[in-house]
Amino acid sequence: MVEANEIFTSVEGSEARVELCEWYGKPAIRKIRTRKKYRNEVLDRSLRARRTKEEAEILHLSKLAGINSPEIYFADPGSFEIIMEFVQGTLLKDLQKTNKGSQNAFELAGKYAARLHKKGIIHGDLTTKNMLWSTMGMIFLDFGLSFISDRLEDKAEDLHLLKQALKSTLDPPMAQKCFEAVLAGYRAEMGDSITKSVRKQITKIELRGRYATVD
Amino acid sequence: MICLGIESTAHTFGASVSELNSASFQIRSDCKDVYKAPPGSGIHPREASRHHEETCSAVVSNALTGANMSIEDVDFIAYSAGPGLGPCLRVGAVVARSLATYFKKELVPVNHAIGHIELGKKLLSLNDPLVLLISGGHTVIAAGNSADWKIFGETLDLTVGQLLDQLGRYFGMSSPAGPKIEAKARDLNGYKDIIQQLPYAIKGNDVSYSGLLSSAKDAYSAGASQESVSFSVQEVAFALLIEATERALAFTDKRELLVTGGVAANQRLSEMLLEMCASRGVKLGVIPRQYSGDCGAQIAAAGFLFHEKGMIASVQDAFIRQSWRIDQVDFRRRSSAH
Repeated sequence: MVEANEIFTSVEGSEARVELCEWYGKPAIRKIRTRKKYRNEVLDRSLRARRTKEEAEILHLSKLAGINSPEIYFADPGSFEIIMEFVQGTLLKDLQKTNKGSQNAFELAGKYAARLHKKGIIHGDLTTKNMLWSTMGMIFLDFGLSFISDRLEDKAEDLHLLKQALKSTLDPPMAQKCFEAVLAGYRAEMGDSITKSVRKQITKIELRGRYATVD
Repeated sequence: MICLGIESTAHTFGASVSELNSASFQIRSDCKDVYKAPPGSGIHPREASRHHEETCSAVVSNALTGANMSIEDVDFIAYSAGPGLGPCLRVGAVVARSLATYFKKELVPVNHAIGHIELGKKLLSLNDPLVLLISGGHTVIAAGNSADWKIFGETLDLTVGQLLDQLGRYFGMSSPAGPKIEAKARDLNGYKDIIQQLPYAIKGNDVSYSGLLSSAKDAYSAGASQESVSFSVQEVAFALLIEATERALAFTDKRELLVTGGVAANQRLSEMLLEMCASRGVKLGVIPRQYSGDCGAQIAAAGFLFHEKGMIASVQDAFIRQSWRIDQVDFRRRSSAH
């Protein structure tokens, strides 16, 4: 077993600083939404407070939806921080590099996405760097942009982002194969008819891109 | 090697003679004439193409004279084949085809967006940047090597250039309104900002501006000053862009950021970008103002890349393509790029 502190002590993400800390003897993660100096201060404070609060709430709801995600130990929108369980594993983004046959992982990712959507949770940043493959199975991370919605559009947008992430890191046939696995998992959980509507909506979203063509 | 680059995507008819020798790229001349829409209205494609027809021969001759060259000295002709407005693209394509046939020059149709990127890379000596391309026609975050571009995020509706332009037109300004909005935003003069009233719409790495535009128009109609609306819209629109860009930087681990396209000339945006890049230790390259908008030099810069990849078209195959995303440019499919 690798000691937690051998892995990292602090990472500056795009939105928050993630540090290793201790919570009553257990290794834990402290996620602090740092001030973005480029952003207007009023806007910055309201975005950080809102996202901290929503992230904690939705992390909690995600477990009720039946997926693995880090446990929350402490959350405070006033100081923009959340302390949560330290989980270990390989990011799907890295897994897809080494093990191209990671179809199971992608299927499970689709299944998890469907479970969230069934409970009206939209992840909002569903990329392969927010999915961890561990001994416990799949763990979804970073609910920092999540929100509650039952709209078809938002479900489709969630999967569209995952598709973009796959297309931007894999060659086209592989990306297609992985995304098909995601959809298969999604269908297994969600059923045929909704999956079909979501798929249609994804195509609509893709056509909204500038200069997109029908093919 | 000497290239004559011809640009006619939208409001600008441009021509440039540029030279590439070993690794050194030099713009010998860069001339343009820009169609001006009447205040309060946008580009009328037919009127813009008429403008291009009337000005094209003067612009091309100025480019040659400016470079102190004759058309005989040119090795090949590159033209902007898309994406853009059909009637406008056609003028550039006709000029390029005519010159190529009469003077027996190779003809290279290039992608306009890659023109913005290639010119930026060459002028700022960037090797492998993440690209933020922001203009009236584009709002896209892309990365790739010269042959294979991938899009990490983009606008789902309006481009940031359209957002500023349409807001400006609502104020009764003439296009392009970006610089006028920027000036208004700088003179806040004690007006209160309305940032809290504007939606902040980011979906993953994609941004959406249509709600922002509607809310901004509503606020102006309800009595907010042009200064306070301009300031607030810029703050929100740019924060969205930079948040998406920062996320893409984190995702790709790129160490360089190239910002190009007409909106790259905005000083407030540059300040914000510099702040973000400094905090991540990323090298920021912003295209010089002179070359931020559409110009022949960008088409020449892309021309060298497309020429090197063998993307030479015969006159009858010299296409235009109104919809041509950078992730659809395929250097493996010669000449039949459409």
